[in-house]
Amino acid sequence: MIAHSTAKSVSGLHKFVAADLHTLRSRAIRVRESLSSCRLCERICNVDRLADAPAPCGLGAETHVFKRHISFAEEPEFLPSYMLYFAGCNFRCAFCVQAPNCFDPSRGPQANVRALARELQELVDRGAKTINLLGGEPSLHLHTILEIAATHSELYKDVRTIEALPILLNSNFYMTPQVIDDLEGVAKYYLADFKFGSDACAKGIAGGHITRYVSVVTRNLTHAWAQCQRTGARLLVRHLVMPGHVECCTKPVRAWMADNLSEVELHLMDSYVPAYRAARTNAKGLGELHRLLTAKEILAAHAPTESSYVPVTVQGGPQRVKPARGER
Amino acid sequence: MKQDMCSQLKSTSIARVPQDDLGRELTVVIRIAADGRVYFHDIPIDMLLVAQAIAPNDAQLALRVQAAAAYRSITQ
Repeated sequence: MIAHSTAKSVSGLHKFVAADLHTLRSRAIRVRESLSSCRLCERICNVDRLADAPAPCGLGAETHVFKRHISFAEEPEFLPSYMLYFAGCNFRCAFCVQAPNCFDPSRGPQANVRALARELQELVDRGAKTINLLGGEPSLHLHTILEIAATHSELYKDVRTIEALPILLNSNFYMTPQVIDDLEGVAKYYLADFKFGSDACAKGIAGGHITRYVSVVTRNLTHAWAQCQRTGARLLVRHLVMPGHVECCTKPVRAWMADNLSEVELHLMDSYVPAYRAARTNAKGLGELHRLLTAKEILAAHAPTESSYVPVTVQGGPQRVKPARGER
Repeated sequence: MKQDMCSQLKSTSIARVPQDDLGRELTVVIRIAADGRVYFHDIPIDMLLVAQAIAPNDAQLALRVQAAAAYRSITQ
């Protein structure tokens, strides 16, 4: 459940500009073809997912949905939110509350695009304010998302009052920038997890294959924000405060946000619970992730910061970048 | 006001219906920490009031309950 917020206003955005059917269809076709050499995430594995070659994430071209439900646990302005959990992920976060189900690309029934387009509209008709695409990692299913959006547009094109689906991409933001470009006019909301403040923590917690985490995510946040200003989409950034990671993760994340995206809402979540590998009593190499946050850590995470810096790995070494002003 | 919401969100058999309001199975995880903190994971609509009873002054939770009540008024 989302707890505290250091929200800053993003009001005043113009009406969301939805992509038209032709654009959606052509993008969907192009992205599906591009799966023959997958470059959807920053791992850029170039694996042929259409041939079901084993991608590092384990995903082929199929999309499976392992869970779906109406949620009242997201940010209140998004509620009710219909949660659609896509199976498969490029991260292996040691504390993931959806693990191990979310790591199995074949978990749950295979997605039927036409049925999903109808189902999502039905949920909107029932009062869902957002269609929350998560996982796993939803951006690895970009082709399916575009096909759903295109099919929805086709199915309801004769209904003059119908609007684009209120799609919310709930993502780790470790995608290539082209993914964000292809979601222009499709994702009305970006809910971005800025999980780690250092590349070392990303590798240690999300997997050794996660390289250049901070530079990739900050690049994508900047890219998405530029798109939002153009299209009226909305960007919110979440950071889950982790035990033992206030100094190395929470403070750098807050500092970077304050310095670079001060107009974007940052939601600090202090609802961490150890799950998956972090919940094992014999978990090794995970530091203090086996426990809950202390009251002191929660206070420290929310406290104003005087100065900090964002450690960014450049050519193999951490560099100190410009001092951040913290809260302004 | 609270009583109104309670009546709107009232469920007859929460414990016997392991599903969300769309009829789908949903596993709910509730963790109670030694210091009294309570964590809900995948909290269903009917259990929002349970959470609110535990944390009656939680403003964000009150917004969730309001959203749930509005949703129920549409779907029922």
